[in-house]
Amino acid sequence: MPIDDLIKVILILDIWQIAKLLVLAALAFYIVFTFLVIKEVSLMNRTLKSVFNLPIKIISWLHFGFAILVFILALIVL
Amino acid sequence: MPDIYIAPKPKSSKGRSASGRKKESEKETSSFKLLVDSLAQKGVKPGTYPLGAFVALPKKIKFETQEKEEKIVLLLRRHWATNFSWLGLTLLAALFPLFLTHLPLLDFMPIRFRLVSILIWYLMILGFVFDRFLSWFFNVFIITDERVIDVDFFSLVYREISQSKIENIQDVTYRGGGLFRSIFDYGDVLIQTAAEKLTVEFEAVPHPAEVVKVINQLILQEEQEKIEGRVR
Repeated sequence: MPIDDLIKVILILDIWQIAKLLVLAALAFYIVFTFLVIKEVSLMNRTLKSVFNLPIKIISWLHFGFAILVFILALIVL
Repeated sequence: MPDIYIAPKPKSSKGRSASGRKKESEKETSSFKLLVDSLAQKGVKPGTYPLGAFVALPKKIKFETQEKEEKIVLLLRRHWATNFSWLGLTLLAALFPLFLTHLPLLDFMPIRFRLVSILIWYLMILGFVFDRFLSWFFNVFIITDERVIDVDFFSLVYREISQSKIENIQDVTYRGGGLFRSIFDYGDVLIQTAAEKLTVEFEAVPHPAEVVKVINQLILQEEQEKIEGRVR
């Protein structure tokens, strides 16, 4: 590809569109992380059973839900 | 006349073993009561606070490998003071977006990106706090009337549970020192055992001297049980 064409392609691409893609990719990874946290919590709850097991489980799901919410918001707003 | 000797049937062997078990259980319960009394004399009182770092004789807490007759004597976590660093960091991080009105750090971004950036910031703070809390809450040290257990979670799905029977404990020491540790009365308890893994270490637990006393009491009780032939 001649250098002029490459420059044209770069100029056509909006920097904020690239930023949006990067943000969405990062949030997708974060959603995977929050899902792993849910798995971790279930393993931990099996190891030690106390009255706090249910609230901790709920918080882990809220964390997961919040991550999905931010992803959807980023998808719409950005 | 029959040549074969027929042994007399035991008188309700089932009932006798059940009563034997009951007596054994009563003995164990009474020995546990003795332990509770002696702990009370040492100033260790039963606690039920689930977020405590030093919970004696907890009632509503169980662990995965706990046996039916096994009773938790002490449940320990790292002292609350060890959480100050990440709690302080969280507070600063949570307040940081408020300073953005004075600092033009995000001004180069369109407003929609600023909004999403702040949401991502708080999402990450939530993740960080939750992870730190889980690490504190579930990395526990458990002392039962039969063994000492150290539960460690290293990563998201990896855990290590090391344990040693009370009868295998050879030496118990604790180390304190340092301004912070002296003020808040916490330190490390090192348990030397005869098992494959030589040392079980309880790190930064509250009242280490009390913990050592409790373990020594359990060792004495275990020796007494051995003499009386009440080994589970």
